[in-house]
Formats: sequence, structure tokens, C-alpha cells
Amino acid sequence: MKILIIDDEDDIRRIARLSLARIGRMDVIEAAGGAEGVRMAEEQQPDGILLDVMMPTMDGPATLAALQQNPRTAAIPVLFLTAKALTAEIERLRQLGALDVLTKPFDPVTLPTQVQAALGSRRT
Amino acid sequence: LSAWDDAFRELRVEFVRESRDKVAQAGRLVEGLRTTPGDREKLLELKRRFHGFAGAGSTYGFPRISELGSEGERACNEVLRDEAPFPGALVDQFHGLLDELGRELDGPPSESPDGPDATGSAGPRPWDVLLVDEDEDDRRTFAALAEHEGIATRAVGSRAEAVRAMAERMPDGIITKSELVDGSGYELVEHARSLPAGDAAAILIVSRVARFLDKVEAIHCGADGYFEEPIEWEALMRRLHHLLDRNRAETARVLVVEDDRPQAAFARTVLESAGYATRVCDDPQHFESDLRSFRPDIVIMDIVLPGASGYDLVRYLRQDERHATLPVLFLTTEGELQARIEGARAGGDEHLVKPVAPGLLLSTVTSRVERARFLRSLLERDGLTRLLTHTAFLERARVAIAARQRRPERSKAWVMIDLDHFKDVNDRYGHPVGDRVLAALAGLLRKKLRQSDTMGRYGGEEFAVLLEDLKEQEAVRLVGRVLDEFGRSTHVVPGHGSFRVTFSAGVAMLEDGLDLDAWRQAADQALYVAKAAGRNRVVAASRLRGPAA
Repeated sequence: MKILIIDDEDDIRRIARLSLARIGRMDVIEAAGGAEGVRMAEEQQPDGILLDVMMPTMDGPATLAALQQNPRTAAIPVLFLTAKALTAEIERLRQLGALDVLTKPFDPVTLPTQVQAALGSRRT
Repeated sequence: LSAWDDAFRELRVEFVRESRDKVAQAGRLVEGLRTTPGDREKLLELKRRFHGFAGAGSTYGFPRISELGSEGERACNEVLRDEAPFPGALVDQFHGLLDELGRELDGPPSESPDGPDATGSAGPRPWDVLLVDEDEDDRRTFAALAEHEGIATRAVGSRAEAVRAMAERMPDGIITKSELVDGSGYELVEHARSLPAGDAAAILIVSRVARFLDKVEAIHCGADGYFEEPIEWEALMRRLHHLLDRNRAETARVLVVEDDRPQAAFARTVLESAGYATRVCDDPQHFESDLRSFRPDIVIMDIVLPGASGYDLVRYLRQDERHATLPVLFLTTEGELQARIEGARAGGDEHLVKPVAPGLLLSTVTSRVERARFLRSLLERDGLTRLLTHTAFLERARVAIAARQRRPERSKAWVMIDLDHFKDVNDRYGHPVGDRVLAALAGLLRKKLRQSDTMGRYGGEEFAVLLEDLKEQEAVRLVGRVLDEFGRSTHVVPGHGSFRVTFSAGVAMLEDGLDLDAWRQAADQALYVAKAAGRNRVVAASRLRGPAA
């Protein structure tokens, strides 16, 4: 399974990569911003995208909109990663069309299970 | 150590180093805001910094950093939303937050997300043990020893305080003096056993004066162990640990047979994070000894191993009927039908293809272990009394004989119990009533003997018990008290009034040179003599030999 992480924070990308690759045995690719992320998703066709909500210039919702408008990336499931765990915020993000919303800070040991569960639930 | 741990630690070092730079940069932004308070760009940038700390701190094991980051982000948002002039006092507040962030980075992480505690639910919490003892010296000694062994202690001086402490939270273990300022320790133990979670607690009684009956009394009231003053602390702690571990042994054990280290580390990390005890067997030659010493609840088996295949090991395992219910989960890189067929033929229960998602591995292990445990309890326990079956009891007796060779100082008594005139009960009141009598005796044995004692339904109306650490006289006395209580209880049959039943029992100590058959016969003969002498009594095998020379 190939996962694309889009997050402007180095430390988050690094720990998410380690967690998903080592514990989850997933292939991990990264982008440090929304525009780069959309391009990468189009080229590499990941099985899922972990998308940070708050990023400079092109934020998470804008990135999601760009992914949805591109026919080559519209079908790729997106999981938002947000530090705001408010129910209203999570609901708002879901309504934008994200498959699920994961909260930061996350536990690196269980992150792969969460990602797996979210992506797996979509198939059945 | 697993590769995950090492890699995680490296990243954490990097996180701390970079975060220090970020704290310094944020500090400069705050200084900039002091001179140009209305600079929204600077404020947005500062907010992003705080947001970063909030999102990453806990992930790297610094929950306080996440809290501080959230606080800073919230403060920034308030100013941005209100479009209010930037209050000067905020500069100092920001500096305060950043100073504390810096201090957190200098300290050790307060949680270690690479350990089993990280997932919150999984990690074993420390044992909670209640000491009921007014003696200050005892309290101090116990607190020191317990702390050393990772046991959390509560100490109270009286029976009333102890009852309150138990109501607040039932401890995992209780140590009480036999005589307390406001009552009897024995009664306290009986009270503890009557509480909802009191069954599982490990209970030790410490008696001030060594009277013959104390030990019998202690066990009768429900204690698991008995000590005399002056307390031999080392022995007491050893016993306490043994009893506590027995309860925790409910943690399922997973044996991972895997020679590839990263794969083994992966399985281990996932399983231990969910609270399973795991052992890795990386050499098929050790498989048998691991099975014996670790007694796994499930085996996760790789196929390609040095010197043997996983299929061979499972075929070998299935030849032993004691492992008939042990679930085996094959983990392979081969997903083909042929591999699955081969695995099933060897006696495997499940077949997962690597790489396995942690969630799938966990859910498979959990469901398999639960079902296997249930199955084993059905096979080992008698349906009516929930005591061990004849076969399971004999198996434990064999283990006890083997254990005596290693630890000859621990005495073992075989007690054979047979209900008196039980046929009359069945004939007169019918089998359902007879069954109720059997269940009542089983319940009384469970209540009045120690959890560590082995109890079985040996035959129709015959029960067998193995008692440890008691002299012959003490065992006779203890069983005699159970007999007294059982004989006094009335069994009510609606419409037919009520009746009482007694039993006869024979007690035989495990002596040097006795094998299973000879030991059992000795107990049987003592039981026979008890019946011949008029029933309703307990006879020791040594009496059959006449007075000792």
C-alpha cells in the first residue's frame, strides 16, 4: 500500500514516514506543500493521502479541492490530519469530502492501524 | 532491541534539536512584535510555530509541549480574530511559553511512545497492595521493598480503615495481621472475599503468635498464604509476587517463531502495544523448550526457518494432544493457494500474508486466543462443578510430582473426598437434587480452599484436591473444617423438606519415592478407612501405618 503524506512540518512527515513504513509496512512518499502534493498524487497514484489541514499558501481544504477537481486524483481517498480535535471542525472537514479525520498529535505506534482502518472501511 | 525503537529514538533527538531552533526563531518573532505590534504577518508566522509544537509534541513523547503549543496558538488566534491592537502584556506571555517549551526540550520525554504504555490501554499498571498493620516499622519495610519491586502500596492501621480502603478500590493484594486493633484479620479476609472483586485478590495473613490452628484458620477464611512474626520479608515478597503474577498470567502469551529480526520486531511491537506478552523464537531448535517454558496461548509461525520449515514444526506440535487446542497462525510471503493448503494440512488455523497490517494481525490473534481459551476451559472443566476433570486433575498431579523433585521443601497433600450415602440422595430426591449437592460442595471447596489449590471432580460423587505447603495434620484439620461446614448446611427440596449430607476424606502426603499411582492409592486407602470407621470424617494415610518408629 502506498501512502502520500502532505504536511509542511518536517518533524511530522519524518515520524509519520517512520511509523507507516516500519510498523505499517507501507510505501511512503512525501510532499511539503499542497501544490507539490497534488502533482505527486497525479504522478504516483498513491492508495491514500494523509493531508495536513493547516499549511501556508495552499492549505489542506484547498489541496483537497484541487485533488477532487483533477480526474486523475479525484478517486484517491484523503485522510485529514488536524490538531483541532473539535467535533464541529472534524465534521466540517468530513463534509469537504475527506474519508476521515485523524488528529495530531498522533501515536506513532498506532497510526498505521488508524490509517489502515480508515482506508479499509471504504472498500467494504 | 527492535529497529523501530532505535529509529524512533534517532528521530526524537532530531526533533529536539530542530525544536530548539524553532523556539529561538519564535522568540525573535515575539521581539519583533514588541516593536511592531500590528504586524499580522509576524503574528501568523508565530501562530504557525505554536501550531507545529502542538501537533508534534506528544507524538515524540512530550505531551507538555503539545499543551504549550496549543496555548500559544489559542492566544494568537484571539488577537487575530479580534483585530484588536496587540496588547503589550502578550509579549511577556509568549516569552513565558517559549521559555517553558525550551525547558521541556531539555528534559527527558515524559512518555515513551515506543513502549507498551504509549497506547494508553495496554501497559501493565503497577500492582496495588494494601497493608493492614499498625506497626510503623513493618509499614516502612514493606513500602521500601514494594517500591523496589514496582508495587504501589497503601497502608492502614485498623480493620475499619481497611474496609474503607477496599470499598474505594479493591487492591490486587492484601497483607493483614491476624489480630488488629479493632477486630480480627480473619474476618477482614472473609469480608474481602465477599466483595465483588475480592475473589481475585492475593491475600496473605501475618500471625503474631505461632499457634497450630492459625494456618488452618487463615486458609479457611480465604487467605492464600500465611506467615508468622517476625516476618521473613524476602519469603513474603516472593509469595506475594507469585500470587500476583498468577493473576496477571491472564495476559495472553504469543510465541513468535521468526528468524527475520525486523519481522519479529514488527510483530512484537504491534502485539506488545496491545498488551500481549510475546516471546520470539528465532531458532527451530528452541521451539520445544519455548513451548514448554513460555506456555503460549497462540503461535505465530513463519514458514521459512533455518533448518526446518514452519509446517514441520506445526506437525510436530500437533502430535502432542496437550497442544490440540493451541492456535497456530502462519505468516508467509506466499499468498498462493498451495501455501494455504499446505498450512492447513500441517494443522495451522489461519494464514496471513506479509506484510500484515497491524490491525489485522491484532484482531486475528485476539479472536483466536479467546476461542482457544474457551475451548480449553470446556475440555478441562467439569460442566456441573466447574472443577477440573479427572484427566486434567491427573495431569496437574503429574506436574506436582515433577515439581517436588525441584522444590522438595514444598509439601503436597492429595485429598480424596467422597460424599456419604450419596446414592440415597439420588434415589430419594432424584438426580437434579443430587447434582445440586455436588455443585454445593464444589462451591464450598472453591470458597474455603486457596486459589492455588488444585481441585477436581474425580468421579461421580468423588472429588480430589491437591494442597500445597501444609503439613499432614494441617491438611486434615483444614478438610475437617470444610466437612463441618458442609455437614451443617441443609439442602432444601421444595415439597420434600430438607436434608443434610456429609463426606469422608483421605489425606496422603507426597513422599519420596511415590509415583502417581502409589500416591493416589495412599489417599484412596485413607478414604476407605474413613468410610469403614463410620464416615463423616477425615483420615490421614500415615495413621494406617501405625505410630512412627
